[in-house]
Amino acid sequence: MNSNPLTPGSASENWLELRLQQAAPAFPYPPTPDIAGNVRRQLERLPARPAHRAALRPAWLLALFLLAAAALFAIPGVRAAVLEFIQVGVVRIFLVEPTPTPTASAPTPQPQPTPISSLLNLAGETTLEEAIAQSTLPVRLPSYPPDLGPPDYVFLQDYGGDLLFLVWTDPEDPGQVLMSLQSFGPDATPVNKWYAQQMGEHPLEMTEVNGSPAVWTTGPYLLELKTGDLEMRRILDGHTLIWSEGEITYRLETHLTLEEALQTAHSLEDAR
Amino acid sequence: MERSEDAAATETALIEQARSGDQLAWENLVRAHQEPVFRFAYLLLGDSAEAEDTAQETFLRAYRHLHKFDSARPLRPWLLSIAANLARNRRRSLGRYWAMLRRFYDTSPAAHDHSAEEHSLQHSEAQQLWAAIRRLDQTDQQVLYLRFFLEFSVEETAQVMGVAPGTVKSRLHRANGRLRTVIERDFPGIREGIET
Repeated sequence: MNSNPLTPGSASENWLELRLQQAAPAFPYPPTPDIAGNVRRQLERLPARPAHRAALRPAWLLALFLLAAAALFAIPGVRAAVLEFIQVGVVRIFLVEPTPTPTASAPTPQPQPTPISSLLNLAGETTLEEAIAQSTLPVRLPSYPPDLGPPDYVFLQDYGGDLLFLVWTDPEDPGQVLMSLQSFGPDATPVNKWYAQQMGEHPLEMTEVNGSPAVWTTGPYLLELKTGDLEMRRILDGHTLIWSEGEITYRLETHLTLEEALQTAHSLEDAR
Repeated sequence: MERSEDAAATETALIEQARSGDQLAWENLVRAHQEPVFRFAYLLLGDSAEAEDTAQETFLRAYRHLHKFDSARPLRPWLLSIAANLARNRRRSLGRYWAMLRRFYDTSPAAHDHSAEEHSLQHSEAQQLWAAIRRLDQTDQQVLYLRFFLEFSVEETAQVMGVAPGTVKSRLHRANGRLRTVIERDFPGIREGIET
């Protein structure tokens, strides 16, 4: 055993940095392949890809939604205007009667993808490994889309029961959320409020995942999570597939199509 | 490694041409940056084929999202940040695969031989250092690769990692400290080399 350990601040620290400076640039990399040629051939084969999907979404959808939401929150007794609700697992989807909306002077904000910064203040951030070890919920990961990989952020929260929140960011723009998957235990009581009138004729679609009833909602809409004194509201721009399997309820927020979202839901596998 | 004003102007012009659909302009940019992108991916992934796929995907994605890039900024840090993210996702996927294999082999009486893998890496000082660095977390690895292996400036490293230059310096200091610990514990040969 050497009696002169490489302690911080010692001469050996400088030696290590010096050795890195001298040796690392000489690292024997494999020859760089002809990536430029491969990229050119790929580009020649591929059709022109549309711009970011969020940019294709009509701005008026969000504009109308925001106006309606503002009106709904401002008018006393608006909560009595609920027509009915649909329940999937612990999630309730409320259908709300339309309200008169002043539209003339309203600004028209552009829909934006969810910035990851809006999620980083969530409590319970952990690692996938820790979540697997600690969660009372099964930790299941999608294998579709094929290039998705594991989540970039993992949150494990206590909303009465466990709430597991997996977030994938956009590889080209890591500041934006690409997809998220929430799993709720049977004791959690999230409420998904969604205002149907502003979303077109068929904004809510009944479907199924692994034989269980499921609901597909198209955004934007308001998500409200409530349990006891805790409350969280978020305006979501993407679409959501909601289904339950056994005692677990899943919410998949995504810009994928319904068909792709179903494929994602069917691809969930236990990560343990 | 800082780019000259002429090189910057040329790059900006090529980016603008590529944005307007000129694939030849993009090919020229790929050729100019393919080596550091491939090498960075190789350092992060440790596999030539994986690094090639990652580098290729990096340039394809960058091309598709070129409209979001500020052409007044140097292209290389943006490309490497995309590559780092793709490599991280790819490595996590590989990690799950290897973890599954490890669980299988750990329950098998004929456990695999770690020493063979390490022995094959001890051909050069740089490879030994790389093997030690690969024991660190991804943030430590990235800052060491960018600064010492790819010889990026602190400012350029900061751009790739999306942090302030001061943060790069503090991360370097911490990464060096953790690297020393790994060397002491698992790679005493490197330390002896340092002390002789």
